[in-house]
Amino acid sequence: MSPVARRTLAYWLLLLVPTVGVAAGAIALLRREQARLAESAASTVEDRRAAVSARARLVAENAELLVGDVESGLLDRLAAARPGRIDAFLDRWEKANPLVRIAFLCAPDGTVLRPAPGVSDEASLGFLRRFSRQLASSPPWAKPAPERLPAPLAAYRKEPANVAKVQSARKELQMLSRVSDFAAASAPTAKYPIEEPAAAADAASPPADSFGPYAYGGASGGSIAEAAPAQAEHRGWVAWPADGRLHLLGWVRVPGDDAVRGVELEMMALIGRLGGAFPAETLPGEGYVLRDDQGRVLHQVGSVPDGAEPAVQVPLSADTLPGWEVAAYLAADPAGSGGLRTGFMLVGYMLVGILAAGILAGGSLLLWQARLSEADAARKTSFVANVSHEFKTPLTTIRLYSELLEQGRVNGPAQGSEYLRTIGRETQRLARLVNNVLDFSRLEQGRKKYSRTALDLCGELGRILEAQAPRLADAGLVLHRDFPAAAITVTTDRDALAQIVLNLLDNACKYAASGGEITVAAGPRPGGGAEVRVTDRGPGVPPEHRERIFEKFHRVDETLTAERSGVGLGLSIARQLARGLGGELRCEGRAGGGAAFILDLP
Amino acid sequence: MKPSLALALLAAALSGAAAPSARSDESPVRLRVDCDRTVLPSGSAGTVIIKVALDCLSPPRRDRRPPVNLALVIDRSGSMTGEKIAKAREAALELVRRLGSDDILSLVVFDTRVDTLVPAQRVGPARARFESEICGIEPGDTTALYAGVARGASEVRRYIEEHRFVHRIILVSDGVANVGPSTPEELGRFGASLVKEGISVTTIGLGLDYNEDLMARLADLSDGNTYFVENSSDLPRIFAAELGDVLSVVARRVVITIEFPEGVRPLRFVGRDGTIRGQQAELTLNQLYGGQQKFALVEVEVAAAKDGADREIAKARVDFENAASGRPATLSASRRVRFSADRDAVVRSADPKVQADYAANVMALAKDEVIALADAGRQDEAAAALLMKAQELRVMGTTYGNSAVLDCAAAAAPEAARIERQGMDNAQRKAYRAESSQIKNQQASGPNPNPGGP
Repeated sequence: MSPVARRTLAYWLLLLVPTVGVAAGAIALLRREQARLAESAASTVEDRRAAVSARARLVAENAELLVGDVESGLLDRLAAARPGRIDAFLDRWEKANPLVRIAFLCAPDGTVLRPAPGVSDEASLGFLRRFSRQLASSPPWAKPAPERLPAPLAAYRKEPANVAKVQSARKELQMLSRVSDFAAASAPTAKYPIEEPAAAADAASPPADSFGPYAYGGASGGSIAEAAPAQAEHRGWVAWPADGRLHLLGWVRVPGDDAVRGVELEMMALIGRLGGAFPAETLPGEGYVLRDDQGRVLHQVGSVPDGAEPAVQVPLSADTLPGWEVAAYLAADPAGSGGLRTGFMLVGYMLVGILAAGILAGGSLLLWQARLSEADAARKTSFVANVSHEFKTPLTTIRLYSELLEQGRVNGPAQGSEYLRTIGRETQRLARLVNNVLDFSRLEQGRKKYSRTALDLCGELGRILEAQAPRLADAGLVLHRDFPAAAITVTTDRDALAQIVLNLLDNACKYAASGGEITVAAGPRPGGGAEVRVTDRGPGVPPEHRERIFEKFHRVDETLTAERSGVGLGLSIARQLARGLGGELRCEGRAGGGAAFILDLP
Repeated sequence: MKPSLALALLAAALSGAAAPSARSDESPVRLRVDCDRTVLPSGSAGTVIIKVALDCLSPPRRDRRPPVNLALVIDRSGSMTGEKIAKAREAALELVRRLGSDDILSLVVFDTRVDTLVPAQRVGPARARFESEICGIEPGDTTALYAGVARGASEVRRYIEEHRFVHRIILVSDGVANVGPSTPEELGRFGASLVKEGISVTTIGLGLDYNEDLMARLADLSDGNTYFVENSSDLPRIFAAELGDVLSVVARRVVITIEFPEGVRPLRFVGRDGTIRGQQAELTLNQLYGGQQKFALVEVEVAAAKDGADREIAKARVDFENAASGRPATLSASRRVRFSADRDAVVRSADPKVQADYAANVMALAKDEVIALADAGRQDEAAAALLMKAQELRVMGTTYGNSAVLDCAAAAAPEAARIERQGMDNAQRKAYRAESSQIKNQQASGPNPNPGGP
């Protein structure tokens, strides 16, 4: 590996290693940040899931409480009716209370006494069809019913925002479950008229509106009362499926009354009110659904995506509504924070990539520029050395012959003349060299001016060759001319044309003298303009150098100690002049050996 | 009908200028018991149609009408796009403008979820808010009809303790309920439970996609009106008509009790759903509208009696609350019939109005039956059932020379032929259902006015 290549590699490594290091560090930090973000997102999802799950449980508990309130309220009302007027009471109750679908009476063995088998209205007939057989075969009061207790107070404390809503729903249902008179419901004095409780002698139950042991809320205003469970009665609820739906039937046996009093709850009125158990507002991406035992949606709040799996399912108590459940849904990523995270990482990676690419590209550009400048400087040094060398040769010759003449060491006048001719020749050579250097400088700075005039190409070439004939002869070259008889008129710069031809002849003298001949031909070109060909029988130009020989300072053999001296400017100047004239100069191989330089003129 | 005409009707309904106004001490309701014949053939048992009619004298003057507590429940499911929602908005805006300052209004919209856009409050100070919320209603997703009505009911309940109000939910929907309870039977039961609280639901079905059975049942069992609006440009007129009814309520929580003496056995109610227990029949109505007649038809079987006998056939009592004064009131009336061997006397005693009402209700019931049969793909039987009822009515009309009954029977023949030929298309089914419901409930307002009504 050359020292230059080694140095370049070292520079590169110096640039590359820290850049890669910085980029790797940045990416590592980004990844850590990403992991941290993902972790925090996961913990947020987990928190949300836990919150949703807690809320779903609360909804289920609230729903059970509401149902429990309705159930105990209805049975209290039923138990408080006087045995003697029970039929009239049930008639009015059925008409007035939205929560009562059918009020019924049964014999202790389960035979339905009311609605009487002969009735004609649709609701009663439906009740008998659904339940008369089941009541008769397995009256629910025949087996001991488990006592249901209200849910603990703690349930309310978990979600203060929903407390007011649930409390008001409970209060309304508790009031509503005691309504018993349709016509009187319009009396301005009371919203829900409550029949006077039975006298203590008639029924052993407490007054229907008595306040029980549970009181929620503040001491002033809106306290919710739980009716005390009657002690002496036997009461209970069953959930029986019929017609593909669940039906709730409550019953109460009052001491002193043979008939079992019962009520079928109007589920349609209940379901609408169970909405009170659901949160009034849900967060984005959350949804809650109340489903019945068949999976039908009864109530829904928030967003419930189609076909999605619920995040949590909370079944309602099997005592209250078996098979019913509250399902909570949680959208995977409601705010699109996952997309945000990915976008953030993508931008981060892109910025790191741009930084690394910028450092490497800038460094490489600087390195390349430095190498160019270095090569330029080397060429200039070589040029100065070459020019000095070129100048030195004719100067040495001039000084030698002028000293011989000065010292009178001349054998006769002929030898003196010979010496003077040599001095003249060397002076011309020096002048050509100086001209070339000046031309090069002008061309480089773009200051070269051309003065185009119409001239006869063959005549002009003839004059140039005439002047150069002695030099060619000295170099041992036989000059052949190949000009057409007719004159070729071109419009070009006379001096530039002479300079091009001189440089080509110089080139031939330097490198093709061994060939012994040089041919200069001129002729018109088929597409217009003219063509000058300078051909020799020298060693020729290898094909890979045929373009590069026109580059400045380029020589096929670049070492100073090369056999031929020169600065590598002649052909470069010739081509630049040719192009400046609107033509072209190119080099071709010649059949039979040698090189051919062709000058096209417009 | 042009909107201006609708507005004129509404104005007339509001002012009551067209009819003599009721004095404050006068009962706004008159009770009458009529029979299809006042002379019955002697010597044999037979059936008699008894009509217990409540004539509401006049709409109350605007300053004396009870304030209304209205929940407007509008379907904003995806199918309501375009003209339907635009017309619904327009109609709702008109409704807000027509309500008085003391009236209560709440605005509920529903698709998958239910939103209370404006909770129940006095219209006066919130008129601008109502209007801007109505203008902002845009169609959304699926149809949670039950939850929408339930929310409307809970909004109405905020003021349910104030007894001077007429409580009403107006439901506008064009779709099939698909979230929550959604069968006609379930929604009917829901309506029946709401009417126990004094809340009626008026249902307005838009277009040809809604479930008319569900909408009719919900309205029937909650004693509300039902409308079928095929062309949504009719909506503003329907709203005006509905509001005309709501603003002219003269009596609330009406319980009609009919006692039948020995020898008279109640068989069934014709049209309305009432309860018959032993010798007593009972019917409940949530409200009576001024200037209209509501009635119950009961078919009874009368035991044979001797020629010249004269006996009471029914005794009716009605308990209600006077909407203007808020005071409870009771009216009673009875009907006696005579028995005669003279067939001409029997025919002469016929009450053409009672017979016409009976005929209209029989045809309404027949249409329900026709719908059921056509649904089952039994068009032939449907047509035959319609023709059979028509034949029975034709015999009645001919016997008693009652042209109204004959007209009613005559209208059935071409309809039966069409059903037999083409079956029953969606629009016709909806029209039948709405018409049947309107006739049975003597709904005066609507695109298919009650031909047997006052």
